[in-house]
Amino acid sequence: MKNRNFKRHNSGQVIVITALMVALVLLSTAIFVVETEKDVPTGGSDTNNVFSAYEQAARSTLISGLANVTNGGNPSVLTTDLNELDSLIASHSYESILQMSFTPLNEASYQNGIWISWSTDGKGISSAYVTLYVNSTGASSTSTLEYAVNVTSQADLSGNYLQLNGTLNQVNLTVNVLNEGKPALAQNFTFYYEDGASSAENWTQVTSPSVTDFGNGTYAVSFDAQTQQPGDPLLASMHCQDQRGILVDANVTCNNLE
Amino acid sequence: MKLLEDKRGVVRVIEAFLASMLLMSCLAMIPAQPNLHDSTGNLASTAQNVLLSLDSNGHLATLVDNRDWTNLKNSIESALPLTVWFNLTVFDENMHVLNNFPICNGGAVSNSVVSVDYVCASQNSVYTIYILRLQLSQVGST
Repeated sequence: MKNRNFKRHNSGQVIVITALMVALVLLSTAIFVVETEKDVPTGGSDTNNVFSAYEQAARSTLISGLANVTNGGNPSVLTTDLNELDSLIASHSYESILQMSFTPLNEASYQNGIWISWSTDGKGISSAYVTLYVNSTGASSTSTLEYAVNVTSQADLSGNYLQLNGTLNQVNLTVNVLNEGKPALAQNFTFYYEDGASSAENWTQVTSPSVTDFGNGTYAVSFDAQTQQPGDPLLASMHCQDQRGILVDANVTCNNLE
Repeated sequence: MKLLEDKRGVVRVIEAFLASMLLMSCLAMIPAQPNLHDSTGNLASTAQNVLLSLDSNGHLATLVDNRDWTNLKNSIESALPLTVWFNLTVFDENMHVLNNFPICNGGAVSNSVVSVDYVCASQNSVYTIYILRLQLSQVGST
């Protein structure tokens, strides 16, 4: 069999390399074209975009107001903030005459658009609700929007305890954090416990609880608690601040596992 | 001269030519994307959309709260096509400029500049309202 000498058949190599370089240039051009044609998220017409911006501003205002109120602020801050937003938006509407109004919900549990329910059955709710009304009159058209904006932070607390040694108990709690009914993450927790048999209210802050974050809004918490007498009932309390800074409290009576 | 006289690479030249034709035909089959930025109205809509999408979870207000102008510039730059020039100015509620250096991607590329004002409310418990003025211009527009 005759051996072929590849070293002698190198006449097309320059052409092949040139073709590869041309292909590289074409590919880089294609990538550049795709990059320059990149679209930003679309959201419909200009009027819809402006109204969406108003909705977003109203939602942010509610989050800010609720964070303020749940951390000890005056409940009237929500109305003050909404009025400030109203006047600022109206003064920056150059293309149309804008009429805007916010109506805080005053039904059921809501008062001036705010509902705070930090109960002893393990469920804590901090919520704000306003109805946004916008009437925009432009040169060629009139648009109206009526939209309910609701911000709700909720934390569900449940727990039990196991008697370890005499008056020493191990408390295990489960916390579920929700924003607008969907699982959400917490920013920080503070836990307290109390001997349920004690006549005076005397909450003890838990200094270093073991908190396991499951990443889906569920947290497992464990800590040791001392009671005055073995077998005394244990009450647990939680202060939970979600990622938006809204505070939710909840108390629960822990079940004895023995 | 030796390369020119050597005819043994003809098949490879044809192969390279066919490969280039194949690549060109593939490129021609990429669907042309609609150009949303060819008018002033669309450019204004683009500006509004960019600010709205960045503000959807309070990210925009957080960047302004922290005076993080570098990340604010990067966020807007990544949301816009390369062929669009932008300049962002951040005002407080009394229309005082807050950004201490320009938030833009170079000099203006056209005389036709679209400006959009966006009211951005902070989600911080200390309530603050900012006015963001985003100016856009498309390369090639007159």
